[in-house]
Amino acid sequence: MPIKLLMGNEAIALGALAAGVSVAAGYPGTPSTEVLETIAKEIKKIEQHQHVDTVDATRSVVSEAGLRPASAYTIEWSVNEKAALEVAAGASYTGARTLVTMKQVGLNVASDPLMSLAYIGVKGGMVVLVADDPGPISSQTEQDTRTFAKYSKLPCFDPSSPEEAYAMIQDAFALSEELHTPVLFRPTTRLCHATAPIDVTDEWKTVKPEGFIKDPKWVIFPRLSVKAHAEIEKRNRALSERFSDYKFNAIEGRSEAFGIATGGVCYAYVKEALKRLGAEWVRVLKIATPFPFPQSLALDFIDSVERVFVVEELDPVIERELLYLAGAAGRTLDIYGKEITENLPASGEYTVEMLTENIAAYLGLPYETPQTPELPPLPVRPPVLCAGCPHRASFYAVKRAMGGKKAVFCGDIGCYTLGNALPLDMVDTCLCMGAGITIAQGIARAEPDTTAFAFVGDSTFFASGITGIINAVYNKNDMVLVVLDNRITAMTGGQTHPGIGKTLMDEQTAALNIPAILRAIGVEPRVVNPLSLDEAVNAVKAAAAESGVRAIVFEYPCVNVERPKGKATVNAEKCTGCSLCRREIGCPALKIGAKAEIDASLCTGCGLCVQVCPFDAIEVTK
Amino acid sequence: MNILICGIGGQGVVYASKLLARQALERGETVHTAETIGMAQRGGSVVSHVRIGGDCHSPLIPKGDADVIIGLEPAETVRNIAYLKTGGTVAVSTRGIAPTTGGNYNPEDMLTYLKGLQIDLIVVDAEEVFRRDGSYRNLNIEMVNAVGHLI
Repeated sequence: MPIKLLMGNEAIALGALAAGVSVAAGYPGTPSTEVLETIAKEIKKIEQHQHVDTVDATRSVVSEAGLRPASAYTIEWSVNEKAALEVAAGASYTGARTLVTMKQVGLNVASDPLMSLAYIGVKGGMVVLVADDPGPISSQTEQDTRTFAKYSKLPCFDPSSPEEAYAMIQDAFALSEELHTPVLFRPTTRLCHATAPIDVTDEWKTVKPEGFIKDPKWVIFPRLSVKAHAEIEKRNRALSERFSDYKFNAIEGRSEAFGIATGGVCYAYVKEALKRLGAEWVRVLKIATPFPFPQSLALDFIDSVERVFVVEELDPVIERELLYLAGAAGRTLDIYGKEITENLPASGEYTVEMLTENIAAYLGLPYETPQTPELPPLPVRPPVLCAGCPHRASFYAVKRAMGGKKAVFCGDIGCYTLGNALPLDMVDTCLCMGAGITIAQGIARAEPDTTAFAFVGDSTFFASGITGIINAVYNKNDMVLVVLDNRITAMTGGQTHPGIGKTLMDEQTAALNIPAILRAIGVEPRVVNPLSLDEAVNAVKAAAAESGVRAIVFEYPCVNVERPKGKATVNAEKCTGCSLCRREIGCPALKIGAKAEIDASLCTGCGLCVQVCPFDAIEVTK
Repeated sequence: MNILICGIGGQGVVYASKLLARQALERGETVHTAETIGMAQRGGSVVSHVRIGGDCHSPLIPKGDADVIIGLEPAETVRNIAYLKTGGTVAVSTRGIAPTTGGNYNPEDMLTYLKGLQIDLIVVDAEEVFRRDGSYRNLNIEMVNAVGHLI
């Protein structure tokens, strides 16, 4: 078994393959994206192996074990998380082992099918991987999937390290298949993006789907739900007992006075803090299955110490369970944490440093908080649109066209949320995937003298934009839709989507045409290259002057999709150093000294600054 | 051994951490790394944590615990200086990268600040790398080599 240096997400992917997963679907979202990408990469390796017909050393064992051909795998970027979950559920109904991947806000989109699937159940093992993002580092919310697990009544695994995640996801598949229920698997950012050396197996389990067998149990009706609900409650009680013996739920340490209860990546932080304090003797309860909560194990822990400090990011899931258990069982002990005693912050990411300090205080150990040296003023580096990004040109065209007129600019989720930064300042609202389109309609309804714009990217258009446009047409709402089509899902690192003509597995497929979709809905779009500034501005002006549902599709590929085609240079004789270029478009390649300068290492030659300069001082050389 | 590598998106911070991790693995040591990936990547600060040896738990190095900081950019090095342990070593590149959003920033101020600290400081002349290679592309490797004797 080779030791491989794997990112948490890669470990989860390889663990899922080892567990016999043959259908995997998801929607990109940081920090979950690499899971599905890794599975796709591994399956493509088999494909190549089959093509060249040579024995790949790392796969030979697998072949002997009866590995399925690459064609037996279905790996897809679905149109959104709901679609991904339903595709996986269908495959699971036939007996295939399936994985669904998403970030925590994706679970909101997928929650409709998942809540019902919890009642219907599955046949082949089905794991729903939901990556949480304490901080949040790159998300809209800090929602806690452990809480969702309790709400949906679905078993949930919460790994504490990439090594553990590799083993645990295999347990999750086995449990799911045994109990015929989808299972939640919830890593957090620091685990997803941490790497560790992992002993991986080359033997992937082969699960042969039995096929779909017709049965009334696959059709949800109130009568079925009543029965299913009762069975779920019974199952979860039994599972709580069983989880008390699960190897990754554990009690460590020998103290009879001080206990710490923790789970997920916080377990690693606690261990590190205890090591720093020389306090490894503290008794630690590690919770790997926050739902159903391992009550017997937790009660043993409660009975073994005099006080407990609960350390967990986001919701006080473990804390409430312990408070409930202690209360219900009539035990007397002090429980410290974030909710009642407010020892730890109720939100945000935790660090080893802050836990060391808090744990030292809890244990009554001396600890001197290291003095942070006073720093000189540091440059601020907010995320910005790349040099040459076509979104910059699109935003600028709308800004110029609407200069001084009453307008609201509704943004959406993607790179183009960064259009909110100065000097563009073109995102007034951003809520969730696809929401800009419908928010704009609401604003226009309530404030009819405002022109409401909605910006949406190509991937978001397919994920959840189309229904909003249908709503606008049907209800005769007033809006200007601006589709920013850069031919990629850019923010998450460049994934395919239905408009591109290629699948995750590099297969050719239909490239859905956004203008054609709009026409079919009854909206005739203006299709414009945003880098042709005058044309773009005129298109916006014309659209703004009309009423009803108007649409502009700005088409130009992301700079990471199509390689740069030239460089802009400044004619120092013509440049007056007025800095208008920089102030208007804020391109990171533009620097202003006495004259404008262009950073050749960043410039893509998009030519937007050329069109902005009033002195014709910039030109693009191909 | 805790090594923190910092710089700007595109400088090869993550590559340098992978290089260090692979080398450690080849030496038969266990190694853990963690990167900042996501929105922070676009023109923003990037930090990689490399932890060599089996006695660590957290993927991230706690502040005050880094044996070595490899700073591919002066201001980013200063930003992360609290991670350095007492008696630790800092290798810093001389080449400043101004924020993409504009504003004044003099990398010399950062180097002066670092020189004023009670630390073991190795200053790597990025311009020499540029003169040699015609680009800054290998700066990350150069910086790793600069502290190679410590790792």
